[in-house]
Amino acid sequence: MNSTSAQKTIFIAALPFEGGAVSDYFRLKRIPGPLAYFENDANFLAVTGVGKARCAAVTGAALSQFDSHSIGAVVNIGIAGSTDRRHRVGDLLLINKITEAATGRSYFPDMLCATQIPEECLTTVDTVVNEHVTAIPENGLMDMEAAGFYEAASLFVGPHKIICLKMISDHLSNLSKISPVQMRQALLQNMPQVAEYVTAVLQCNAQTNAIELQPDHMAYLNQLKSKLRITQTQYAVLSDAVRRFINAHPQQPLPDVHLTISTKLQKKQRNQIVDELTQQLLC
Amino acid sequence: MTNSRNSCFAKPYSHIYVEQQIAEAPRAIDILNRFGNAEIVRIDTYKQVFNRPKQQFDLQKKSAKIILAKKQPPYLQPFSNQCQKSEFPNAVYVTPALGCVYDCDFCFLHGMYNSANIVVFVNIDDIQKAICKTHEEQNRTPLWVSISYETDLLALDSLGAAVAPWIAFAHQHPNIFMECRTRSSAFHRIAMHSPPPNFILAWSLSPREHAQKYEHRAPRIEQRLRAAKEAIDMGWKVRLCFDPVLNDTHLSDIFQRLFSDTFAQLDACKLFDVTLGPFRMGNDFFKRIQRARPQCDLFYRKIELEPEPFDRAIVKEIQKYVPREKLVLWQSQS
Ligand code: SF4
Repeated sequence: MNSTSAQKTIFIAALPFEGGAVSDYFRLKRIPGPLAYFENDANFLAVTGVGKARCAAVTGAALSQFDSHSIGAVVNIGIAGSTDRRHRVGDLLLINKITEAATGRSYFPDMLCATQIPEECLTTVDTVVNEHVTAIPENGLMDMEAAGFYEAASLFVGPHKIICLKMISDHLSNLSKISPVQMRQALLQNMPQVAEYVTAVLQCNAQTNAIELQPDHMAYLNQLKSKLRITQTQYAVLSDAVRRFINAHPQQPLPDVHLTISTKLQKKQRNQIVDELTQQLLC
Repeated sequence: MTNSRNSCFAKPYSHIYVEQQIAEAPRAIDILNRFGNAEIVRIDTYKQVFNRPKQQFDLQKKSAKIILAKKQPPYLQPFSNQCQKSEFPNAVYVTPALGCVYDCDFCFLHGMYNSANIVVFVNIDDIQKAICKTHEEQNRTPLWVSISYETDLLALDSLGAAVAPWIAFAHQHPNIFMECRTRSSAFHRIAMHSPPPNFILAWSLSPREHAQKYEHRAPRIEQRLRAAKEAIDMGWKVRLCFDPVLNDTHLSDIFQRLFSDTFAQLDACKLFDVTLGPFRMGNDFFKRIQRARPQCDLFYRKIELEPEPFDRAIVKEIQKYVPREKLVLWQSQS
């Protein structure tokens, strides 16, 4: 994956064979520890287990390891059943609406990026649905995780960074006919399309004008905060001024004032420094 | 469906989100038919999409989506004190749509909404009935209604006849006055209608230098002037709004040029009136836009959010062209 400026793409899969396809494709390495995490330089994978609660918990745990600006995209990848016979087993679909059957709540990833991948809506159910269950909530796809995934992911990133891609595994009837090994293979065959779409989303998102402060900018602001004992409002003003400075002078370092600041200054003097620094940043 | 301007983006309006309850409404069907290739996504309420947290306004602008919805009451809103004081004591605005096809840096909508998507309310009838009811309750005293407040209705017309129902409504209710403010040049879309005397087409104009820099995607000033001239010639009431007047180092020079270009083409005596409005914006909106648009110098200058009296030179300049009784200088509603 060609992530931009050291951002990582976070893949979330429920089942080991789903994660296996991602891991095989990107040649990810297992991270030692109690949770099934895998990574390389540009990608990270968490395998969550079945069900929306587990998926939400592990997605949240995985994402909390990253600063939100270092997350390029969060991708739920896996299999889903379909109520629509026109979908063939093995087809890859992009999800534009996720509904949680239990609550009726719906979630909508942004669909900003051009793609050839067909779209569909998906319902997340709590128990396995088969063709004998008459009360299928909404036509489209069915899974058991996506709503939990979206809810957790949206705590960390906006809808433009959330992607849900599902491969058709069955028509709510013939699930048992296809083995996990075959499913992993079929998903692996779809991975080039997945990677292409994720790359396109990263490219789109890179065109934002909004400036996310990087760790070194945060460190700069936090140092000012502690040395100058600035108020919340002053912090917000300085943050905006830093954003403006980065935009106007991408190659220049931030003004190096904080190192010379004495902590024994009076409030009036501190405020004056903040004002002068703000002006300097806005110049 | 790619967007030629930004190739990795989907075309604008590639998706239409449709509230279930109005999916069969004639206006919804009309708009859906215009965008036959769009992906249709069913929703319960427009807020599910429009009000999502952490949306990236500038990215969405590159591939905006349409949301078709039913407007819920209250249908009529009083003006905020950031708006031009109306000559009518009873002045309200309505929102047949939320969001705009253009992308002006100084637009308060960017501070007001999380989303760059466009909500079109298809139940215009309900809004119009509410206007009539208010008008009745106020003993039919003249009522002023701004119909293009949180959008640019004429610009939106290409998505589906947005202005025609208001022209028809104006014809039926001569004591209800309507203003349709716009930066669009698409007058041709409504030129076939006979002009109601109580319907004012109000074109916002800025100096070329400011329009090029800050009014992204909006038609050039020359195009707007041409549209305004055509409208006047066809008997429409036209208001010109030099609004917002943005501070600049050569302010009087650039406005001198704008006024002379404008009134070389338009006869001020044939205008309904001319307004002059300063840049004004609530502090919260200003801060939100400042954060979202670090590239825009407008939000990083020393700017007075509470507008000051106009630069005398500009007022003097415009008075060379516009008779005193037709000139309206901005005054707060409050
Ligand atoms: S034309 Fe008006 S509504 Fe549209 S972006 Fe510009 S200022 Fe906002």
